[in-house]
Amino acid sequence: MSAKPTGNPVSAAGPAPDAAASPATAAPLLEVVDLCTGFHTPRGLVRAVDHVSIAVRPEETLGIVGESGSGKSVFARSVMGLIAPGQRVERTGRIMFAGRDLVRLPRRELRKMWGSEIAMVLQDPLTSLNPVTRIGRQISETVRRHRPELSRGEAEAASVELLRSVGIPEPAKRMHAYPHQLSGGMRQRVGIAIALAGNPRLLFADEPTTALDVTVQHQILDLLGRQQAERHMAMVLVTHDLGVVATRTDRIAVMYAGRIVETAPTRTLFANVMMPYTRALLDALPRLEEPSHTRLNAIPGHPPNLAVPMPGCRFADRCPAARRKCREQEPPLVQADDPEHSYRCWYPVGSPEYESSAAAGTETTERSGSDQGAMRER
Amino acid sequence: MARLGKSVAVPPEESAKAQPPARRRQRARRRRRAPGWLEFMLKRLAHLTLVLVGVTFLVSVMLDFLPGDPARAILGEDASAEQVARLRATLKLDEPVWVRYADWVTGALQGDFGTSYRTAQPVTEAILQRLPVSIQLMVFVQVLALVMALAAAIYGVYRPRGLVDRVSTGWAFAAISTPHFVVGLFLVFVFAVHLGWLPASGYRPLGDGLAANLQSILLPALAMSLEPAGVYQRLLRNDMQVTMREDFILAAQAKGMSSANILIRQALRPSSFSLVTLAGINTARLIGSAVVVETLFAIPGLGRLLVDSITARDFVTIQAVVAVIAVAYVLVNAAIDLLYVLLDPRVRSEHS
Ligand SMILES: Nc1ncnc2c1ncn2[C@@H]1O[C@H](COP(=O)(O)OP(=O)(O)OP(=O)(O)O)[C@@H](O)[C@H]1O
Ligand code: SF4
Ligand SMILES: [Mg+2]
Repeated sequence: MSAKPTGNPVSAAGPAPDAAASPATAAPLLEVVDLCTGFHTPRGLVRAVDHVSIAVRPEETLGIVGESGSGKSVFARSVMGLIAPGQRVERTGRIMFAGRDLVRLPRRELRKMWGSEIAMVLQDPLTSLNPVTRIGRQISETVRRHRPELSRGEAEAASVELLRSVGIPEPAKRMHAYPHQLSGGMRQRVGIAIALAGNPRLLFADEPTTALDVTVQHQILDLLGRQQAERHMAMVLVTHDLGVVATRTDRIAVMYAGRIVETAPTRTLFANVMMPYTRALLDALPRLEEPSHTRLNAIPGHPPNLAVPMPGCRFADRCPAARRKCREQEPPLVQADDPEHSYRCWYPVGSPEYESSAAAGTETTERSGSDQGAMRER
Repeated sequence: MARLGKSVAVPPEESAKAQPPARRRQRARRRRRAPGWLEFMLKRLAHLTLVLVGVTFLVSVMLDFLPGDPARAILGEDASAEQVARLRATLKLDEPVWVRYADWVTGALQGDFGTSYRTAQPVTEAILQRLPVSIQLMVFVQVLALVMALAAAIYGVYRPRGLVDRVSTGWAFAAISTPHFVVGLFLVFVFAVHLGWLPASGYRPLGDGLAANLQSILLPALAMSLEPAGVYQRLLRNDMQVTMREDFILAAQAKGMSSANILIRQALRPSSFSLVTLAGINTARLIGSAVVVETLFAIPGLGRLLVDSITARDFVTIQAVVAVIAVAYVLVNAAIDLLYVLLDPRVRSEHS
């Protein structure tokens, strides 16, 4: 397993020399470089996103996976610049979108891109719709915002069409409903219709199915995939469930404690997991007989406190292979066999150190051979 | 760290099968709406009757608690025996309390509240003269207070901890802790005595022209509105700030809505429930508590009529004014309930 430091973490994700190697590559639509987002709190600066670099190409689907609190939502929101006003937030780095740096863009300009260039679907469809407004108005106000030339009636018609396109039966009738009168799945479809109203080029779906019933989850994910293909949209699918992203993404980035700890094309990642944290996430996947959205609480221990800077690897407290070096030096992002695959680990899966510790520990090794099969079943 | 917890509610299954029952439920909901409303109105009516009977009966009973001969106690030692006898007859003091009360109710139902033995004016007439003045003052006070509070609160949420926010917060605390008459005296000093822009006192009815009427009511209304404005501003600002942290506000931003749209069309309505309650309670309270300002500015409102009647032990008038204020109180409460239903569709489905 040769692992050479790449120096520039971005190259793993894409633009320059390596990019030409893959035929599927194009200039990235979104390129995030060294993004840091910190919240000033009474307990200190909480580094929710810490030097994250990642790229999304047009029409590509990027999966972001990690446990609760790993910084996925903060990442998605800070890329859009959508941190609520009044919060004391520090954001540095570069976010290149369609040739412009969103970090430096004035808020007035940024707002013009919300909904029309980049849109977002939130986790809980009940709380993300205004409870006192009919869904018809919630959609048509969005339509009119992005196409001010439409009359009220035309905007209504376009809204009905949008509702139909996301699979809502009797859309004209549903226009008069309030959010609480719809089922969870229907509400999330409305949320998706609203996000699509401005025809965005990039869609952030922040755990769009976590709050939903199992049977509905797949319908919603299929709908997102279909819309993405039809509209030639890029999508960032945020989830805590590796199973969800296994079949629905082109690339995956695994986040832990505000950092990307492993990123690779989906196939490569599942074939060749390097980072013990990704390994643990895979092992924590529910078996088939359990509901597929069981929370990832199977990894023992807790993520570190983000307000306290750590010298070494952030996963060290929970990693079966952790050694002294892990606690003293943070591993850099290094490239694996596949140039698009990089990870942060001193003793990656497959190294003698990892294998000897893991064998002494749990059943990890025994399951490692079957993960590809498990992936296809989902 | 204000993060919203994850909702673990499992929504109903969304399959083709699940739809007919849902539609049936909706139809059933519509059918049940009428009885729902009827029940609501009947409850309100019962409430109204109970409150009305309670407070007016209390006034009748109070006569029996005056020491010695109530008529003598009311008229004082200087009154002649003939005067006392006449008052005994007017107040029907020889009858037991329930007969007295039944008589009063019979009259009141026909719009006859009796005649004041203080002014010899029919009480109905006195009330009809003063009620419009009180209502105008109250409406003015509420409108001024709400306009000031809304502007300050919305701007404060738009730019939290900004200059406007800090100034209006400080101002609100000062206004809340200053009595109306102090504000009134101050306003009179500045705008009437010093600048001479507005009359220092006196009420001009609408018949004297709109401008004169508005000028005469502006200072008293302002004097009374600063305190509620401060309370409303604090309440609305805090509720709106909570709403601004909701997911649907984030979603509205993400879909590209403007700041004005988000503050006014998205956040204001779901943040206004407690404000509506408080403003409603205040409406009735303001009619009664206007006494000081009505006296200061010589405004012939219900508050002054009540106080003058209490000083003169004019029970006939007291009973009628109390009844009017009680009706106002109950009606306003019913109006608030209706307003809730309009503001929050979720309450609507619970009602029906
Ligand atoms: N407004 C805030 N102020 C302070 N800390 C915050 C704030 N918002 C988020 N955080 C912290 O940032 C970290 C990352 O949170 P984030 O919501 O991005 O996690 P997540 O990966 O989306 O988790 P989940 O799966 O629960 O949605 C958490 O530790 C959280 O406590
Ligand atoms: S660097 Fe060490 S502690 Fe961190 S994941 Fe790798 S082996 Fe585990
Ligand atoms: Mg999240």
